[in-house]
Amino acid sequence: MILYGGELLESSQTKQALKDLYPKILSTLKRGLLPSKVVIMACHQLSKRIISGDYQELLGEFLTEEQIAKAAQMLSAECLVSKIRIELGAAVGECLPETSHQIMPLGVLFHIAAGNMEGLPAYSVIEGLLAGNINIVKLPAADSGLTVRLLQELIRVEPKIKDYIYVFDTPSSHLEELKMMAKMANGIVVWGGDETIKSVRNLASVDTRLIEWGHRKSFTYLTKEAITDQVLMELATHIVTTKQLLCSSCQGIYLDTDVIEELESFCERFLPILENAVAKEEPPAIGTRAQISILLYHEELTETKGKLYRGKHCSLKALPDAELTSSYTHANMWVRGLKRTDIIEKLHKNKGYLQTVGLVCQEKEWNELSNYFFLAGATKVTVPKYMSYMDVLETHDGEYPLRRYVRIVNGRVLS
Amino acid sequence: MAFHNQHCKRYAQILIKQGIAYADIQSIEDLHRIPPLPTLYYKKQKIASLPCKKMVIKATSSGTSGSKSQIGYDAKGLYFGAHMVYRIAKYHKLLSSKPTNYIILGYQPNKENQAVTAKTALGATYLAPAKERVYALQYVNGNYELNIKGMMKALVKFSKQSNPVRILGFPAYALFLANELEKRKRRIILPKGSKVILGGGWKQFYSERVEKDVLYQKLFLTLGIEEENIREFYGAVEHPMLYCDCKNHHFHVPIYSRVIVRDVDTLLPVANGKVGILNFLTPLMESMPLTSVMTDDLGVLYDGAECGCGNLAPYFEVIGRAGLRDIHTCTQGAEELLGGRKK
Repeated sequence: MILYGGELLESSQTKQALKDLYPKILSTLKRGLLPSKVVIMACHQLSKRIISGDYQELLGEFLTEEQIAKAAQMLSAECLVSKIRIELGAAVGECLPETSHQIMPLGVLFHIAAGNMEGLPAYSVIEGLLAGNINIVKLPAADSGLTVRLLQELIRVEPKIKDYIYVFDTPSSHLEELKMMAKMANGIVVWGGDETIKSVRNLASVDTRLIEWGHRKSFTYLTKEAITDQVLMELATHIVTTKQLLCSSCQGIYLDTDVIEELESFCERFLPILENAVAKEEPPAIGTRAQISILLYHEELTETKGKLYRGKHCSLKALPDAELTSSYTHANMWVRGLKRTDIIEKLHKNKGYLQTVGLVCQEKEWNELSNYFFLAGATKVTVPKYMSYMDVLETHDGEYPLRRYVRIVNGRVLS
Repeated sequence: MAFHNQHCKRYAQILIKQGIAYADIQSIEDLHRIPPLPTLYYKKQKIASLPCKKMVIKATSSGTSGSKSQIGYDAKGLYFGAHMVYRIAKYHKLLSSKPTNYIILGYQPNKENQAVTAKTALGATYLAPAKERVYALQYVNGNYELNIKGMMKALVKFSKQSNPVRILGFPAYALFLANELEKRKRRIILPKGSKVILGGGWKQFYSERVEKDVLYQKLFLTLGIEEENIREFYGAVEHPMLYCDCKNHHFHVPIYSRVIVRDVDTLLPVANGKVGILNFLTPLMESMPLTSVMTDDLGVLYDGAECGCGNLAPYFEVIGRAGLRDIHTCTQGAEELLGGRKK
């Protein structure tokens, strides 16, 4: 299903739709700027309708109550105005304070959207709209249909937006179509891992700005004195509820130690807590379980170091090095030692990948330790239970997205 | 197992680590104790029981999951393998002396392409003498090009001859061919005795997979080939065994191999009828320890009598693939091309 200038079309119409798109875009650009106010008011209407329960049936299928409330908050005028003020300093078309430098949209954004969080592709488009851009979207393969339905509602609320949104369900293998989309864009917003980003770099021409929200790794860091059962339960809950699938999900646990026996006794203490948290959730799909078992068995055949602790549908592996690796997901993770004095030295090589650190330490140590992580490259330090909690005005991996979706132009302003 | 234990240090270490000795394997019931090597192992590690120069044929897997197994076969193993193929093809009445026209829905072989699927497809054209071979993916100036025009032309030409036609290749490509004919509103009836021989699974086209009966119906409607003349092969580069489906489209396990289905959590064998990871065993090759191979395929093993075709050997059904398909992580870095996911 394609959302094209407010109309729903069949996927089979993609080729023709793409052929017609460029003249449409040029004619939209000719009409002038899309005022941020129009987008904000449309989003605010949508937010109010979400709060009043108008979309309960639609959203309830994909999101939890908490996520729905958060979505409504993120779309409120108050929140979006603050977002523009914080991220851009002034709305699109206006001058930056004390300058004649005007904020202009990049023009056309091509979003290669993420599929690991429901509604995120739609929010990426809203960010593009706030910055005044025309948005072309390639949906992820696993898209549930929510993106199109939400954006359709937004257009229904404010039909002026219809010429700024084009959503395609083109599969990744249809390179020619993707190239056509990329060619029309001033910027490509890509969400994904290294392989995705490499592919997009090949796809984009040199004059196209690449806005890469690449993959990130997150972990927890625990100092011995601060570990309590309560903290471990919160950590286990974070692990099982995010299934370690998000960039902000804990992939593994570092303890402030270099003694392997301490890692082992930690595993013995944490495993039953993790097992308990796992038991409260649905077990993973059979294919996932098979894959995890194969990976663990393969590791058993090939690895000589470390000690594996297996629980029901979960595992911990105490390892003697301080590498930052991805987990096997679904509550299968590593436990490693990392002395606080070695944090920068050992983690700095992952600087481009570091995202969230779930820190468990005494209050007096917080500043010192979080500084180490920030200096190593992390972009967020919080307690484990809030690792994947996204504040409404939070940065994306240490950056304000709207700043990447605009240009600052210089010109004499006639007023 | 004994041979590889003697000739491959790495394999011997695995046996020691897993606590298995030759003496532990006394009967068929003990076979599950031979440590299976996951296909991932052949992708990540080099393992061999014979020197490289004794590997007469080298092949790679298709690399659906991103990396490829590097496998070598020795002359003796290939000799046994040829016998196995001959006997199985004969049993399934796939051998014929009639000159046959082939349409291969796959890659035209060239020395750059070591994928086992290309080699198997070529090999299958020797089951009946080839009059002509037309490839869906032609090698032109160093690149593969989709040869739809050539295939259509060949189908029309072959349909006017008396020689049977055999269409070989991936089920996805057979589906695309049938769809293409449907789109063009063409029905090209192929000569009597023509067959479609499918193999290699759905690979990257898994999402476009259709049920067997749907595919067979489409092939009948577009090419006039009846279900009994549509056959399917199963095999893997790490398990060079030819499984050919029976008239009820079941893969019975021949005398040359054994199949164990392992529990997805414990990896212990499960009873027939239960879903698990498919583990194949064969003593065919000396080149590498391919004795017991744990695939990424999920399947079920059934008692032979349940089939009803007359073959009482157990048969297996592939029902899916082990994989993190429902995993949307961005830290895995193994997602499909451009299939971005994040936050």
